[in-house]
Amino acid sequence: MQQLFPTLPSRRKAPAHWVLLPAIVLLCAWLAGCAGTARGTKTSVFRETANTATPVSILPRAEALIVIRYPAIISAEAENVFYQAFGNNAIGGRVPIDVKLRTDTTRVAQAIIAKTNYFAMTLYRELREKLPPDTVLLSPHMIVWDKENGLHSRPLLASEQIPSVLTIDFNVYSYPDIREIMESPPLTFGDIVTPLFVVHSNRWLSPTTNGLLLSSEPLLQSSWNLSEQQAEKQFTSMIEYPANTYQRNLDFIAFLSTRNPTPVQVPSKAVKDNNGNVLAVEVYPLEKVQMDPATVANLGEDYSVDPFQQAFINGAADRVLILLGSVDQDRALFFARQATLQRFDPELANVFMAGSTDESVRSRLQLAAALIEAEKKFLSGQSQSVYLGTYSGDYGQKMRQMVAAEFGMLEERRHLARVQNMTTALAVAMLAGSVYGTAVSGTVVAAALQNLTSVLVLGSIWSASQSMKTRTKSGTITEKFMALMAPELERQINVQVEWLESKEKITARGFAEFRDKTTALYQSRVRSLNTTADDRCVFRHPSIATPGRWYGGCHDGLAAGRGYGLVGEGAGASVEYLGDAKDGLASGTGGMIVRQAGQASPAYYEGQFRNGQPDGIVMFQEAGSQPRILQFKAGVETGKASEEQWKRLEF
Amino acid sequence: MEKTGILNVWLFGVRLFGARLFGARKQSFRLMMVTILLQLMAFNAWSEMSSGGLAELTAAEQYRQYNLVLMVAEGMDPAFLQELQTSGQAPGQFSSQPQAETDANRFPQINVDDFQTPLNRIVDQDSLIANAITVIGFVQVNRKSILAAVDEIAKTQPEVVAGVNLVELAEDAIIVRTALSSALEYQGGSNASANTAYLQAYQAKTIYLRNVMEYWTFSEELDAITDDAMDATGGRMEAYQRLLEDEPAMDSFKQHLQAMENVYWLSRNKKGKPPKLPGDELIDSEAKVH
Repeated sequence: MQQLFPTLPSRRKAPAHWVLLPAIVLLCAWLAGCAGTARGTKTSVFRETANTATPVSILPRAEALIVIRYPAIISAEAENVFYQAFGNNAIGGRVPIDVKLRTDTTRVAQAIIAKTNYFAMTLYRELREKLPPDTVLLSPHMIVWDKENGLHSRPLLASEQIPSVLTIDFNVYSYPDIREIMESPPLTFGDIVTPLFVVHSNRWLSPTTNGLLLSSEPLLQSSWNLSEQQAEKQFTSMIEYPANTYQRNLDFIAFLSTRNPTPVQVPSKAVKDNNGNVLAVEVYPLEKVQMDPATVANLGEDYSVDPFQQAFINGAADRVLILLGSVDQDRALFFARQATLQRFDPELANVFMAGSTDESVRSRLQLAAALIEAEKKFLSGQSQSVYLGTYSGDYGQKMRQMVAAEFGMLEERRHLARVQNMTTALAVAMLAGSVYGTAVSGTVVAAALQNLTSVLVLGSIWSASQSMKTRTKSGTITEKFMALMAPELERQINVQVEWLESKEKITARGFAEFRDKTTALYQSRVRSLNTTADDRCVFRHPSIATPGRWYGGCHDGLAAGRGYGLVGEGAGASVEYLGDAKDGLASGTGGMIVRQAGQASPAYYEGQFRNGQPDGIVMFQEAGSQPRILQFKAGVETGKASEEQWKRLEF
Repeated sequence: MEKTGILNVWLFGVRLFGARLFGARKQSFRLMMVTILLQLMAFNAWSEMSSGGLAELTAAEQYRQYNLVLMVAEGMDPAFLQELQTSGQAPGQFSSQPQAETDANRFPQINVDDFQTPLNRIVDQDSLIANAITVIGFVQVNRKSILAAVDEIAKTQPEVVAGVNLVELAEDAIIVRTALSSALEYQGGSNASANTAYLQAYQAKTIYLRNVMEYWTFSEELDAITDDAMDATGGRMEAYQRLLEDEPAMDSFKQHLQAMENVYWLSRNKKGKPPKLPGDELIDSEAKVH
């Protein structure tokens, strides 16, 4: 009997081939290197974790709440070093030596600076709209190089001289090798953005992490080292006062300029971690955020909706706002206030440490606060001007057109990649089919493969060859795109350099004049203080032989009353204390940061002290665990205590 | 800095009791003040107190008088006042009942000149003290009513409030307070040592008022300098921005974008010639250069 239907394989045999086909496709991916389609996550981890409810109400104050730092321009002498460092310290893989020397790599490095300028504005706008007026400042940095300091950065505006609760380092990133654009490495191109994000504050806000609160995963080590260095420098500047003030490099530039940093065990926790009270740095994973394609496609013409805001900034800003609402702002600002006062009124800065409540101190502090607020207002105006010039002006318009053009190119490559993938998969499947021949049957594909002849085997080879051509074409598009975009990118960068350098000069000149006038006004109006505080008094700690320094109340040359003391020894151990003292030793209510030599993270004690040691109810903090309220006797822990019994340090 | 009268009187009043330094900014602080005032409006005790002698004065002068007596009375401990009255240093007397109920036709006004005249300050200190204490006593008893009256003027005649110079008002209050303190200090009295602390507290509030007044003038000047600096810098930046926007480099940018479109066209592997686009020739040339 003629068979009406071709013989179908029994169900019993089917599994072998169902396993075989995916295996072939996987094999194809492995052997031929199936093209990626450059996709990103549509929901940033911040959007998943942010509490969209109204954040805790935040009181406006004389100081800033947030300063956003970002790499804005590169000085001419730093260009080559920066490009080299960009190739050497790539995120997402090792860059082959030939790629480092390619012009394309330079263009990618330039592009991330140009795009950082643009995307940072979205973060600024979002935070500015959600916070009281004049409390969010921009601090664009210039990347510079000199023999003494190597590659580093310096701020173009004086925004970082204004005390702020939180400081955010922001930039976008792309892997240097443009040939990998469709693969997995981080990318900022078209509708894909890879943000790098660090949040830090004064070390007294989070002593066990030296003030580092959140960091992008790739920058974690360098940001940790930077925070540690900042804490050390600030310690030195106070114990050896008057000493040079410390300017923290941009975290991203510090990352690029450090080759093979010594690995440190950083106390960390995931952004998603529910265990929020654990004292550790929140780690933001490296993510390629995909903006809404439809919006990006029309970005050149219509920018009423900001796709980056929707994809990433909303969530990140909410995270920052929640952080801002949850921290003790006075704690974060205390030492920054003192440093600012030290700049224009050292006498008041010392008295401020002593916590005097005298009316002469209060009124002078009120004038000083007004001075800081005026500077903040001035710099807020400059930040707004940077925003308008970068986002709303010519620069922003061209960046949007460029991003839309990139998106068009990326979509083309995605299309080609899909074609290539299909062609390659089919080619390999056909080759495999020709090998397996009659053994493969039972599915539509298998049915097609059943009729393969030796001629078709040749066809499959042709197919594979087409696949490779498609891949080559796809790569060529990117290279041509980058070449075409290079002059515009360069122009954008030049414009930004020219504009920001000019802005820096104008602002600096304007700010210098402004500061001269306001300082003169302040000096003409302040009255003498009815109280004084010594900054040469001795502070000691029982375990450190070297005498330290005390800012505050003093009796017979020894710390007495409220103040701030520091003491350290050569081996690296040091103690910082803010609070009450007696006979040169911590005694009464206070907070103490203790750094042991060789330990990555300091410990923090806050509560009652006697003879320099914790004594009474004390809150103890160490990295990697939750804060604990403990009972101490002469520096020795004797048991647990309740929070109700604990007396916190008032900043 | 704009200083609308009522808000600043209240600003002064609340700051007197220790608003935290660095804590609240002016704007939010004023918002808080508005809230307080609205609450006070609900308690309209004006009907209980007649403006009496003030009725003949203009609204501005009434407003000034109300604020002046409030400023003069601030920081006077009721126990000290009682002590002064019983020791005979306050012959003017005052009732512990709201004045409106005892004498509806008399509002004890302050004539600052009385406190500046050397004769009064040196020779007739008893009268000076008596008058001042009568006023302070009246304010302590009728504080809510006075505040309501101040509020009423601020609400119905804001232009009057705007016209009152708060700094001058504070200066007058400081003159009265200083004269009163000096007179009390000089006269001593039977319970002088016990009253020293009260007097020091009153004097401390006078210094506080002086400092607040100085802060107002400082703020005004600082704001003017800040606004000028921002205008000067901002203006120059706008000019620079316009310079950038007028740059004719946009054409080159468009050419590059059009050249990109050609790349797309070619990549789609369409047959025939690509459309003639202005940026076409850039494709190879730029690729070679860069």
